[in-house]
Amino acid sequence: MRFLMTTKGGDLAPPTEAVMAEMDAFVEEMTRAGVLLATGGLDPAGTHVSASGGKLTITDGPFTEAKEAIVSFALIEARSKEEAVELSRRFWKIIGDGEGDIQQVFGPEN
Amino acid sequence: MTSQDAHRAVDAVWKMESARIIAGLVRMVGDVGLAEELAQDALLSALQQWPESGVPDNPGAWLMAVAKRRAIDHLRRGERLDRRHEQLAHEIATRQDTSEADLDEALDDEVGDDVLRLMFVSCHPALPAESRVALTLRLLGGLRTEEIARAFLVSEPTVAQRVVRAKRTLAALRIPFEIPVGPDRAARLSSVLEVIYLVFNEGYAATAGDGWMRQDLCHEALRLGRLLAGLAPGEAEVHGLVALMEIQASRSAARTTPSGQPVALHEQNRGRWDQLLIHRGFAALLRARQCGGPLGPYVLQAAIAVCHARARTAQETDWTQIAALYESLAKVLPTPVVQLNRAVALAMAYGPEAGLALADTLVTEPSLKDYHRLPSVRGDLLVRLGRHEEARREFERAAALTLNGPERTILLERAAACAEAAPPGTAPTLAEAASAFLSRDDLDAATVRSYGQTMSRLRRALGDGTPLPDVSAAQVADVFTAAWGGAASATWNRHRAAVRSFSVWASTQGLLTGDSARDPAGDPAHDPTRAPAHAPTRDLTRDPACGPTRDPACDLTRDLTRDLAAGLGRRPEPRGRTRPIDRPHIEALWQRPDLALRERTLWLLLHESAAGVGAALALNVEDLDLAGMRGRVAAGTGRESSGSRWVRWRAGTAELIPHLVAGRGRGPLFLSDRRPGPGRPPAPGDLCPETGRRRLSYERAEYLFKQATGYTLDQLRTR
Repeated sequence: MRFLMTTKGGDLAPPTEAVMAEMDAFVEEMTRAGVLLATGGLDPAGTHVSASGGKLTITDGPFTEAKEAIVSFALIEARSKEEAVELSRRFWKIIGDGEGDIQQVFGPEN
Repeated sequence: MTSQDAHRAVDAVWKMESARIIAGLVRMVGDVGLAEELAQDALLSALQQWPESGVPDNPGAWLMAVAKRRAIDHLRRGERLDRRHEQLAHEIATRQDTSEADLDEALDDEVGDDVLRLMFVSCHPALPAESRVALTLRLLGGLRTEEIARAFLVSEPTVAQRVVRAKRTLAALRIPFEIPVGPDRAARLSSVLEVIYLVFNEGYAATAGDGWMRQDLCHEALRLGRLLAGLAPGEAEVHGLVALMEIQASRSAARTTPSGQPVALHEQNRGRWDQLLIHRGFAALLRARQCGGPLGPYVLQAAIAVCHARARTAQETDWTQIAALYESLAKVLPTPVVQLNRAVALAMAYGPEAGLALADTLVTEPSLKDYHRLPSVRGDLLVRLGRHEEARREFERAAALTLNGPERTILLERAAACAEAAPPGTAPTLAEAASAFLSRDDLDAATVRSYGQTMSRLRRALGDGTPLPDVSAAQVADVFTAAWGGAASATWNRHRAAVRSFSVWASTQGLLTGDSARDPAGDPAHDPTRAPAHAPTRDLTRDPACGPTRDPACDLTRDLTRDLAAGLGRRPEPRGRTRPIDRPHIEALWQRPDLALRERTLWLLLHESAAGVGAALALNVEDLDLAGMRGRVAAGTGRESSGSRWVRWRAGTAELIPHLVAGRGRGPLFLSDRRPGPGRPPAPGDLCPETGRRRLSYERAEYLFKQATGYTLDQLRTR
């Protein structure tokens, strides 16, 4: 099963070097084990698109609720939701405080 | 958290951590079985404590710490507390003081290699393939026995038995916990790769209806492969296998229709291919190539898969490149199936004649005699050459051989399409003639049974719908070579006699030359069973038919009849006693470490009992008297005889048989490796009700022995 893990922005201080190093090691380990398929950071500003009645409305960010914006993602391959949660626990143990979501990704077979 | 949630959390942690924990414990205690027990104890503690306390911060280190304490207790408690144990316990105990974080770090460094060692041990070639698979999924995948059983469609006790036996074998053979080096390494590594690919293929063969666990085997194999690639990054074949699996897995959504019908590669919707997996596959193949060295079978297969994955449409496929890769593959993996795939690639690259020329050479290949893809590929190529009538027969044969229902439907549709393109002749078909031959009332039951075996093999190999006049002696000879080329002379001669008798009978019926019926100039209403007065011969290999009044009992000479057995020489049958194998050779045989349990048991039994091969293979589990070191078999086979006799063995066999029985209650003692192949289903008595496998055939047993020793099984008897 694939899961998309996302983290939301906040007014947290930027991570220390030690945290970065630990996170790099974690990402490397998870990639090597084939668990982490893709990961990246996201520009919280982004561009908002809304389609209505065939008309597209495009609004450039940033938006007011920075806390709600998704700022990073990881696509993982796990055997169960519990395994995804366990990986997430390890992630947050390194990062510290914050919030995010775990959603199963449905592939063509689902 | 509810206790159910906690259990699921523990299970998830266990699956992620068990390999590292067990690997670390094996290094400490030196025994896989004990290490797993200790790890299970730790798991039990987690199941008891975590629902109360919550999952600890570092669950892996927590489990490891508990398991280590158990290990120390165990070593100290041991009855034979020798100095080594004492020292070991001390070492572990002093290291236990380190904090959990340090421990975890230490784990990461050392345990990587430990996990690799564990893979080499659990995939050790001394274990039978099924045990290697079960043990690996259990130790490295953290799968429960029940999950493995469900995935492989076998019973839970069967899996448990395999695991227990494997652990016992590892302990008995004192397999060291190490990463093999030197000349041994390549063979040991290929054994690991074989296990992973076996797991993958088992999952890949599963269909939608089979449920999640079977399909999940693909993911599990991929996970193990990726893990191995991380642990042994310098091995090209490891990356090759990973690349192959990533790309095959990328097609999983496209390779069946929603209703479960298989979709051929060239007809798949490539938009449903998983691009993420494809790119992982590309990257893995690139890493394999960077490792250098000669191209191994997995790297070459991955390169072929990459060729397909790179083509945006089926038409863009680079068949020239694929054909070249198959040529290289055929050199390192010279199997008939690879040759068959190469034939397809050649046909795509250079036209159907090129492919057919290669495919035709495979017709006499014994291992392909029941393989539906050979006739199906040949049918395909014959259609492209406009030879519809021959193609129709090939598709019908393929349909009769395949076990897959949807595939059979497709093949029969193709056969029907060929029939429309070229209506079949009105000459009697092989099936019609064979039935008429066997239903004569002057044959006794035993003869009908014996001839029936020969005829059904010919029908299966040549096609029921083949017009009898089209059957040539050369084709019959090919069938014989494939089916009975390796059998005992008496078997060969028995089938040969059946064909001779059939030839004589068919000639007297005028069935062998029905050419005018197929001749466009001939009368379409011509009665094919009527003997033509002057039968035209279609080619020089055929002789004119003899007259209808000829007495079948008379000795027909070949120039009077078209003898279908013309290409079959009579084989000399051994007279008197077979020369037994020398004692030194026999002794050396038992010392060989590479013998599978079944073969070791059968051979030892034949040697100790001096029983006939047929009698030994006829043994059933329910008729064994283990304490009495004997087993009962029905006396005589195929003849009018009743009663039974005993096959008696000695201590060596007696020790092995319980392992081979492995908890089964009935059915054949010696089972074939595979479930029954296509073609005739085995007689009920030859099918194991518990495993679904058929009785080991005489031919296969003889073949394996010949391969291993160069002798025949008969020569094992002591006299």
